[in-house]
Amino acid sequence: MLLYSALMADTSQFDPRAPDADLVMVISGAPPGEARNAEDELYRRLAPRVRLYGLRHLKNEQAAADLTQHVLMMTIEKLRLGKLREPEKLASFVLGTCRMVVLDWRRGVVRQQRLLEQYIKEQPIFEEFSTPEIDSRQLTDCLQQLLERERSVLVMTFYAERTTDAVARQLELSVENVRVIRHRALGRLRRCMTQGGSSS
Amino acid sequence: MTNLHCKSPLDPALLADYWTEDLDVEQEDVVEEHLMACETCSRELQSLIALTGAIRSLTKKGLLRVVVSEPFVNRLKSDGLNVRQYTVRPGGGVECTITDKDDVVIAHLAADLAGAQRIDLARCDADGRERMRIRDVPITTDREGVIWTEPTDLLRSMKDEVLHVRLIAVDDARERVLGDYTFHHTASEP
Repeated sequence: MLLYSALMADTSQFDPRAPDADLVMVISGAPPGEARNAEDELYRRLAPRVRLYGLRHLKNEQAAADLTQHVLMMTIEKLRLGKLREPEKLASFVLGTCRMVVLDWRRGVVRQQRLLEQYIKEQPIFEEFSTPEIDSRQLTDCLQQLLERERSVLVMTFYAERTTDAVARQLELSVENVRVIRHRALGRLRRCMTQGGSSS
Repeated sequence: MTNLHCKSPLDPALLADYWTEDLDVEQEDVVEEHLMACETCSRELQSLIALTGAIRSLTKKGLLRVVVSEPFVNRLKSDGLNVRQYTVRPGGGVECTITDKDDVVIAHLAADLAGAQRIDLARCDADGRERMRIRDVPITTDREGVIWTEPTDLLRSMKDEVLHVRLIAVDDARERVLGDYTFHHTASEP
């Protein structure tokens, strides 16, 4: 409670350097729903990470957004009830919840719509995830500076979302070779983009 | 578990392998545990995803010159893109253009690539002299030629023009011409 008072006393927002565990303790130590600033901060931190998990496993932006809402609702409910006994294990708990929810969805289990609706009413929605701006012209120039094979591997992987195995088969390469080419190409592309378009 | 500074950042190659599903289960668990706890690395993954999205977008707009495979061309078509495709036999030519409706333009240089260790693609002048060479283009499984996309913005800016292209097999120190191809380009309607 001391930590809760200290964090809430003179600021409406949390120090972004505060460990996640501190936020957990504040939420768990406050009356349910009263630690809104801590909940907002936790949401701000975790939502992009859960979304990434969702994008990776569900391959769909809307499904990833649904997962984010659902998992964070469950997480904050749990914290409000003080049921996460080891605050430093928040990330493991959230990851475990992600896995469970995705598994349930794949099994066709009905979502907890009632809880979700209740949560959405009271929780601010952080729809805007900050995504890095990419200069298309610069990227085009950088891509054209790659070796032909590197460009083919990147385009075939990321446009068609082909597995490494499929790209390897189509280009008469080994799987390991495709991975090496892709790593090298991404590295060169990143360097080129940060150097403003000049190849290295 | 502080969020802004990562003491052991994930290797970008590991993140790429995670995104392309090339990790085994144990490696994937480790990466996901780390990402869920680390703002720095999750932002790094976000950047990678943004980059892959931008590559996808450029491909969709036909803005890249890239060697692709027949299944890839079929994928473009099944995604609803208007694909203009020209197939040319060795020694042959084709009348070609681009219209407003075309999303991607594909050139398919038919050739028998069987046994070739390396394939180069050259641009030549009307007299057959090489002006530019792209070395070691990818060889696709069917080995029935080279398929590539030509940037649509470049094609749209071209006037009536004749392009001469040559495919060359390079085996050890020897070179052999697999075919010469001529594209009679007509400028797109304004």
